[in-house]
Amino acid sequence: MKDMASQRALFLRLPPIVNGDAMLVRRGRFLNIAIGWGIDADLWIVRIRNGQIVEVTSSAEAGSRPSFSLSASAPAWEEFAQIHPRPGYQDILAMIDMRHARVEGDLLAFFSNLLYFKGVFAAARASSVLA
Amino acid sequence: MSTVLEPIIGRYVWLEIEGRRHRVYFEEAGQGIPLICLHTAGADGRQYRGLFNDPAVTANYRVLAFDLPWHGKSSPPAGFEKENYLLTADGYMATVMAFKQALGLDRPVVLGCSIGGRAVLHLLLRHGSAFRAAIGLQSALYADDPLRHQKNATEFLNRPDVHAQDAVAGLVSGLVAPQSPDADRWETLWHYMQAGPGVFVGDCHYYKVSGDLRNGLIDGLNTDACPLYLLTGEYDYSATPAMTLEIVEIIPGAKFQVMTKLGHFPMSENYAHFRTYLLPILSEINALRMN
Repeated sequence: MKDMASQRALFLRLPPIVNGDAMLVRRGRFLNIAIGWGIDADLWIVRIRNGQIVEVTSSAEAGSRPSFSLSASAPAWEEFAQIHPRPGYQDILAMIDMRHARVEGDLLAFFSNLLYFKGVFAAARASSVLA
Repeated sequence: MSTVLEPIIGRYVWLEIEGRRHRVYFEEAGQGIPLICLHTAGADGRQYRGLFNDPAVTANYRVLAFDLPWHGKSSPPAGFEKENYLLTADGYMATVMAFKQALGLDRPVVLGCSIGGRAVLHLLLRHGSAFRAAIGLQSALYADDPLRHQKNATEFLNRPDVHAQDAVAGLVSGLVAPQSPDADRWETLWHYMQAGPGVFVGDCHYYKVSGDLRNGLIDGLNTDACPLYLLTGEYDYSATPAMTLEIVEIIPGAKFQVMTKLGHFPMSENYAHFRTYLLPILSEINALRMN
């Protein structure tokens, strides 16, 4: 997962997983937003419309800034992606709390849809996007 | 499907707490040594249904769990609509002691988790001789915010433009260990989803401000009369095993064990696993009675 090409290939697997989860899409049905997903120094922009992921692009390709971004190192995301991660990596708030990850930007958007975003990141675990 | 009737009995009791009358709901099961169970912030006594339904517990213990005022089936006091709920150390201790007195419980064991895990320390400090033993789950001297380096997360949980029930569940969901069964994980979260507006945040006032025990008051506390047992799940990032160890360092008599494959809600997220840690402690306390 070190280069952009392999990250792009992995992120292509994410939208079908999220969009195929009817309850997760319903949870985000009022949500239209772009969020940032950082891996090491690279930032990916995930565009969400009515709870569905409609596009994943690199920040260089994206035309606008994300509302917020959640960033961690590649090894931290790989640990998060395990079925039973080590303590401190089992959840995005756990990673933030233990300083394995950092959230920046509009935290109101993040918290007001927290269960939805947790579902999106957990979908990455289920789809082995980050492993 | 055959009928499954659980042995739990639920009742209401009126308590006078800090000069106000409160209608408080509690459940109980079993007989023997009274065991008062204190729920986590923003939740209620249903978290202890595993203990209520475990004959290995109820054979020797009368297990009781009340919903704090404002929580679960306990009513907020008359006039609640004109005030902002805040749990204080004094109010919390007064509630536990009022419940103990109202039910005539003789030297009960007190078991609490999270804010309840803090409360057992306060009870030991202020009323140690009134209890037979104290069991703290996820006990810590203080609590930090997951965003402590940036912002206070709880400020997002009590505002009209945020669905607090979903947001609170989101805030605590990662505190459950990944090994815990999904059904129990989501039932634990459902309790949080049912809290009244501002209740979780009001409880956090005790957890983060009023009940902070980094004040030296419990340093060197004697546990001879009331043994202190501490159990902490390894996946809890709000009350970590390292934070519980800080208690052991200042209360050398405390007995501490880290629980593997458990998080912040051991009694409700995976009772079958939690009981392997709890039952030996309850047996030890029961043996003290026999000696």
